Amino acid sequence: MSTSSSSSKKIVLKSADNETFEIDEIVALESQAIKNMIEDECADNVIPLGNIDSKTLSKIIEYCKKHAESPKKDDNADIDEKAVEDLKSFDAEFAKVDMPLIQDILMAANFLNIDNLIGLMCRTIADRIKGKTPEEIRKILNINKNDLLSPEQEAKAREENSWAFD
Amino acid sequence: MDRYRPWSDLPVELLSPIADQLALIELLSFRGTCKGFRSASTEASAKNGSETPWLIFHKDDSSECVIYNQHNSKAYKRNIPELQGAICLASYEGWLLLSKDETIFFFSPFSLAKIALPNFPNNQIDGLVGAFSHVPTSPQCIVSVISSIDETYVEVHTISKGENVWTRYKTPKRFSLKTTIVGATFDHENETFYYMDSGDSTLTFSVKDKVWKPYHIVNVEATSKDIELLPYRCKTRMFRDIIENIKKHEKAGLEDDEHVVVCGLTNNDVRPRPMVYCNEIVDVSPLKSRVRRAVWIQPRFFEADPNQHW
Repeated sequence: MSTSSSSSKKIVLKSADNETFEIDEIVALESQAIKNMIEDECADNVIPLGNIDSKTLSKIIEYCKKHAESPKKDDNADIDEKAVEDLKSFDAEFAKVDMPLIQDILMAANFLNIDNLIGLMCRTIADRIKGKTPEEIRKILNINKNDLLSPEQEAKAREENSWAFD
Repeated sequence: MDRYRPWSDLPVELLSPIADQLALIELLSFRGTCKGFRSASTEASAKNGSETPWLIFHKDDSSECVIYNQHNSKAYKRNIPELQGAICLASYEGWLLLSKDETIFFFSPFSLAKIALPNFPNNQIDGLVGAFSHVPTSPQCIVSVISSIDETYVEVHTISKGENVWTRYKTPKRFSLKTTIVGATFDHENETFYYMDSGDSTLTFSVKDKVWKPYHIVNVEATSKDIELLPYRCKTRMFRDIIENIKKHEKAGLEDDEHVVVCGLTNNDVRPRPMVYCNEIVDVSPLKSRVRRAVWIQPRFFEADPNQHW
């Protein structure tokens, strides 16, 4: 199902820092938001993405390219297992980035409505906080001091979780 | 998006999917992190966590429980007063159906959420076996408990979500059904409860048309006109097989003079057919004088709303 990049229709995405990315339409269609724009014919030649920087956007395009090339699960029941494994290891590699970038990718994936990528980022965050205490999570996720639990909530949370961290 | 903002500032629609990905311990930790995370995780139940059931050991004379994760052989201690002296009738999706002081109630031992059920008409609750179809917060939840079984009759009480009284159903004991029931489960497709005895027999009760059917369980390669496929798979000695591992564990604190009464569970995460663990009674040593109770449970969390009622 790979697309020949020379003949297919192109879409141009423009990042917040004014970098442009020309990609195959099929890659752009991984984003439900862009798909809707194209279907509603309200997409110009260039789609400006004023809240996504070029570093994040290029990561997102890398993800969409790979996933657009891979056979979809619902296409047919017996897709070859190697392709599934291949995609899995791509996702695992893809997620090896720092927390600020994970956050940017998650926000952008949410804006562009790319379900698989939102899921991947959420699983990645879940992995990063595995086995960590609330105190450690606060550090990893850069929690704002004024968002801390009230003393009452804190007591409840402690009752909930203290057994797990003794 | 060039600045790293605190994760707590993220919108709820992004925090909730993160909470949904967390396994039990991580979810508990996440909920203790900050206000935003706590309110974003009210609906999270750790359902994407491990499919391997955990064990909770509890005692008749103390509230001290041991929570045992067999997947990584970790044991935790926690005082859970509701489990002291309680008898577990069923375990499903992280909820326990408990009987204690002549009352029957649902209990989520990780959140400590509790849902009381109307008075049970039969006081003789030890040794009884139950099952429920959905989590007790679901409007579809139906509970059934085998309330009595002897050489002549089998009696079951059922109650559906929102009902005020239990309904009794009785059938003559046919077949070679033994008087010890070791497991019960609910099949969603046929809306039928299955009660397994300690031998090869199973009795079913259809909720839809109130029909009883006795079955003899056989091992065959293929089904035929006279043979139906059980809608679940069944393990009868799950606990016995891992007790040596647990005994090695100091924190689990199993003593040589104890025998362990284990309540089974239905694990719906196992595909394509759910896995039913049967109840077991296992001697730590042949002396067997004191009782230690245990229950299999899926590590799930349900936020406690003190006002929830059946």
